[in-house]
Amino acid sequence: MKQLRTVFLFEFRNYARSKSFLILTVLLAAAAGIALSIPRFRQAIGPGGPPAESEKKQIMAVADRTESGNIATALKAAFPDRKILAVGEGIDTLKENVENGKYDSAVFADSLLHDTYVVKNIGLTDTAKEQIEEALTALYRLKALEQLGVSPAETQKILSARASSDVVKTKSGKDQTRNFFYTYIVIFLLYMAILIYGQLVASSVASEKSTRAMELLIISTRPENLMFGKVLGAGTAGLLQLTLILGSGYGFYNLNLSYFEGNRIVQSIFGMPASILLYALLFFLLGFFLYAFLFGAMGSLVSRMEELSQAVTPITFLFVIAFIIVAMSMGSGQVDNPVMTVCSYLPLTSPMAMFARIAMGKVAGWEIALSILILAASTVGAGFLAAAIYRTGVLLYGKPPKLREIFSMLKSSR
Amino acid sequence: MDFEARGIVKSFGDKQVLRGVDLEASRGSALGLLGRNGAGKTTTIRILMGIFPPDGGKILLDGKPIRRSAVNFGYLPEEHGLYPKKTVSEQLVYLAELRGLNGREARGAVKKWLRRLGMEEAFSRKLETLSKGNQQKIQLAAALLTDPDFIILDEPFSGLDPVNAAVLKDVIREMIAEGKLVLFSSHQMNYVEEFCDSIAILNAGKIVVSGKIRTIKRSYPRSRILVESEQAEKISAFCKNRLGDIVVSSRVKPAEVEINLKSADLKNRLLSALAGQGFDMDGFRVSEPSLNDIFVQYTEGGI
Repeated sequence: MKQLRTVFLFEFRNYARSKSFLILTVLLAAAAGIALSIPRFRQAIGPGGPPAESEKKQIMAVADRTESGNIATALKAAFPDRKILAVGEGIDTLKENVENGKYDSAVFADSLLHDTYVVKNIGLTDTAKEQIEEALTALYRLKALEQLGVSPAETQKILSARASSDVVKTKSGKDQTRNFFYTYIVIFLLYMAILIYGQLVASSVASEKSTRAMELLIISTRPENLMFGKVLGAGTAGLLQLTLILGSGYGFYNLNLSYFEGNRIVQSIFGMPASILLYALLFFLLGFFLYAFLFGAMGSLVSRMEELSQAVTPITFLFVIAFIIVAMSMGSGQVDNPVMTVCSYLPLTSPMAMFARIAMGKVAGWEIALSILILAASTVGAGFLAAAIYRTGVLLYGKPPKLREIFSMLKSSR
Repeated sequence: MDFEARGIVKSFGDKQVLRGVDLEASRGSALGLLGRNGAGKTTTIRILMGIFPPDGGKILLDGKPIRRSAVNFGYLPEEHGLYPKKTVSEQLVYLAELRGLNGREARGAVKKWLRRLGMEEAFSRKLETLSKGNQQKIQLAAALLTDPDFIILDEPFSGLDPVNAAVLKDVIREMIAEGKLVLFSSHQMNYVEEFCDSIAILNAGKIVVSGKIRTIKRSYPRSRILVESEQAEKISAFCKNRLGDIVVSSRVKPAEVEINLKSADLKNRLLSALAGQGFDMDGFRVSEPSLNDIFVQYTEGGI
């Protein structure tokens, strides 16, 4: 136990004191803080913001060929931020004038139900077409109702009436529009943490092997102490890093709380229910350790650092596929589909799959318990298996062995 | 014998690396394990250390199968490395703690050994910033931190300059004087000869010769005589012309002549004949094979 503690502290310091760890933590914590302060910054510079741009209104030329002649007025109401200029030009002249910059845009309306919107560049978020259509449709209806003898006041009332609908979810139900974001964030963090720290554990083992420090370690203590100490050290460092980054984010969120009113995404992320947070932590830890053990075992099988990335590829590959399955199921909203159900019991996929189902789907208590049980047992099993592979790996130099060879060696070393 | 290895056999895949290795060593003496590259020295040492098990054979300490957890080992692996990116003190304290010292004892032992090896200034330096020889000394400190009773050094002299080699020799002599078991591998014969009482030469996975160096050397024919003299040429000519009844051949070397007698008991006759002629002789002795000669003789012809 004392030796496990020694290994753990050595490994933990190894990570926590490294420059890259410190720099990454500070940068990401700062980034989280800045990102969550953006609304405040924006509001601070907003009102007094760059005046030249906003004062110079964009010019929209309107050539009205309808009999009603009110299109310019209707568009003025629809585009309060643009200067509407009623002109009598033909479509070709309008095109020329937009091209040469005399107008920023132009509308050529040949009837109330059809017009041509001329613009130089069609912006990605340009909703002018829809706004024009809406304004003209409203105008058409107004005219039509007037012609039918409905009074202007009645017409106004009819046109402005809107049906409204409330959404109520039952008590045990889930709101996928809200929990999608935090589920995705937890799963994505797990994904990043496993890939980054898994690689670190693997390369730490591989470098001990390539420098033969492993030979000294293996005669000093049990392989279980080395493997568990290493993985726990890396896990603690990773968790500390995440806590600092998320803590910074949470702190800045609270500082800027008033600026996030009405921002459902941000509110849903920080309003994650406590039970979900606990599940996130549990699945995060188990999943993290399970993969870290596997990465560590792979690290002990290579003799040179250059071979490492090749050796860990199968695990990385498996893990990325698991991530894609879960992310796609989440995107489709069908987190309880058959593939996900199977994945939520398989230890290599359950940390992400079962968590996504708990957060977004319908899953019974016994299912969660069974999944956690399988995962926890597999994680402990993976730890001892990794230690055994580590023990066997010391004597393997040369080509990384095939899976079959590893098992036959494990058997013979018993 | 305090330590014995009997019939150690080991194969890696189809390749048989050790084919029955026998070794013995006593406390208060050093055993040199010699062999060419690839002869199986490092494999033998790793098996002794329990890094991996032998396929067959026994390892005994004081007549009983060795219990490694009960033995305070000091081990210097062949490659140097440990943790290149960590400071010397950090990794040495770590290794000492793993070997059972508490934090304070570990730091004390690290300081003591760095001082002993003249490496105090390396205490807070990163290992990779040290020269190869100094890294080797740090490795040595790592092996000796726990004041081990059984010390196994794999190629301890590789990379050391003569001054550092002298420091290491002093340390090893000290260990021997303290009654410890010291076993080390090398192919630098001069170092081995300096403080090993016994050697074992490993070739192609088998011990081809072993025992006390003195005994091994005396087992060679003692009919070769070395006469040191400035008159080497004259002595050689005299032997050829006048002593044909006792001399087989003679060969002139710088300031000495090597004379091959018909048998070892003729050396007194040679001495009186040369003395009777009034030759100015600085030395007269039986020419023993050097350890190097013995090594080459036993390991020639491949692994």
